[in-house]
Amino acid sequence: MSRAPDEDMPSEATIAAYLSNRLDDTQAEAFEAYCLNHPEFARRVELDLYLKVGFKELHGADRRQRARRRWKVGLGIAASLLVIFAGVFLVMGGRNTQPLIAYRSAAEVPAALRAALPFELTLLRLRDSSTVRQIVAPPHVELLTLRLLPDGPGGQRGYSVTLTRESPLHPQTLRIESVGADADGYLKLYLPLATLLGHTLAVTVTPAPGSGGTPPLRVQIVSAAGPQNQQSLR
Amino acid sequence: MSTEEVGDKTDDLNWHLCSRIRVGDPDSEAALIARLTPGLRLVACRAAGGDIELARDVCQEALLILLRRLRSSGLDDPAGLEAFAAQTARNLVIAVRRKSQRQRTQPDPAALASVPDPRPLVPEELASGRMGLLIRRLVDELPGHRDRTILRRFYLDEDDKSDICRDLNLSDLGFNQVIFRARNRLRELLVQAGIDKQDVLDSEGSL
Repeated sequence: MSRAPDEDMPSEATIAAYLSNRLDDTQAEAFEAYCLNHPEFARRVELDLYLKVGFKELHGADRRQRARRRWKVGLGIAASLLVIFAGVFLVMGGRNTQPLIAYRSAAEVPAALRAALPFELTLLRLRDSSTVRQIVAPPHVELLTLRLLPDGPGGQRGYSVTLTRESPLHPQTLRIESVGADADGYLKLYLPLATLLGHTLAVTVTPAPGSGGTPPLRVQIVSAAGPQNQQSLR
Repeated sequence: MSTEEVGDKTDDLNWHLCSRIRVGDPDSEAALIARLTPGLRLVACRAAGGDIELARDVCQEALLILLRRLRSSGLDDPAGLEAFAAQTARNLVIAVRRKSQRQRTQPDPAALASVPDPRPLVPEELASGRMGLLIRRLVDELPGHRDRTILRRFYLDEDDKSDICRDLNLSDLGFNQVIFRARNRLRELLVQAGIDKQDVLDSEGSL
């Protein structure tokens, strides 16, 4: 029951305006009255409406899919980084599960350690006190010789040295009493490097047991990147 | 043909249909439904704020009310048949909205989020609307990128026809052909999908 298009047929612009909801109520109702009397025309408008709705649904679905894909990629990267960090953390932590040990003299150091390359580190009191300095240990070095310059004269029994390994997994404090200064006034301790790598070592020197301590000297010891024989903090 | 002549013809047709339906003529009922359905769905769709599914339900309901009325007491003024049908559809949409307002509950988003969804995950294309699925098929079948651009700009971006033709160096006829082909293909896809073949496309459909 179709009729030929008449001169009152709404224009393309009016159809587009109706479908975009840009007609006022009076105009829209007049348009709908025409559609009610012209089913073929109304069907064509209806198909345009479906095309519009369909494109919007498709666009919305595509946008959601893209957003979901971005989330997946982001989560994948985050998960990978987490695994890497956890691995590094465990490896670094696991490497230094050995208890902190310090020897007072070279004679006490086990022969195997003594045979390895020497690495000497001298710590002096700095004006800016406890800033952590990073020391890079050369490759194949296993023994750290730590030279400490006390801030003042020692007591009758020498000095008391406290070594603290600042580690989230394996923290440890070692106190060594009655450490005597050598002819140059330095205190000398020997430490297996494997117990320190990757951690910060805080060193406190006090003149005698029970007396007030000075702020610690702190040094972070990391694995070697290249050959270095000696590092000195000043 | 002048507006007045068209109006007279419509009035005659309405008077004829109303009187035939009153005496129980099923062909006249079918003819009335075929004539009013497409326009009535547009009326309902606008009233329903673009909700196509609701519009289709409301349209069916409005036609049922209209037929019952014509079978029983009839209309005082058959010339106002279309206006009566349109107002019935609008009132039905208002009634549906009032009902849903009354039944509205305030959900607790945190509690809802904590309830596991027992349904299996569905692919994105299944989760989108029916029309979106059909349009995806239609777009996938298009021969060239240009046709996709035309349709997307016209229907999604709501760009003006003249702007699209100018930008794509396209004649008015060329543009119309693309739109015409898209409408026809959608018509076929609607039939294939079984989406109301009768009331969308077949003028001879009946309740």
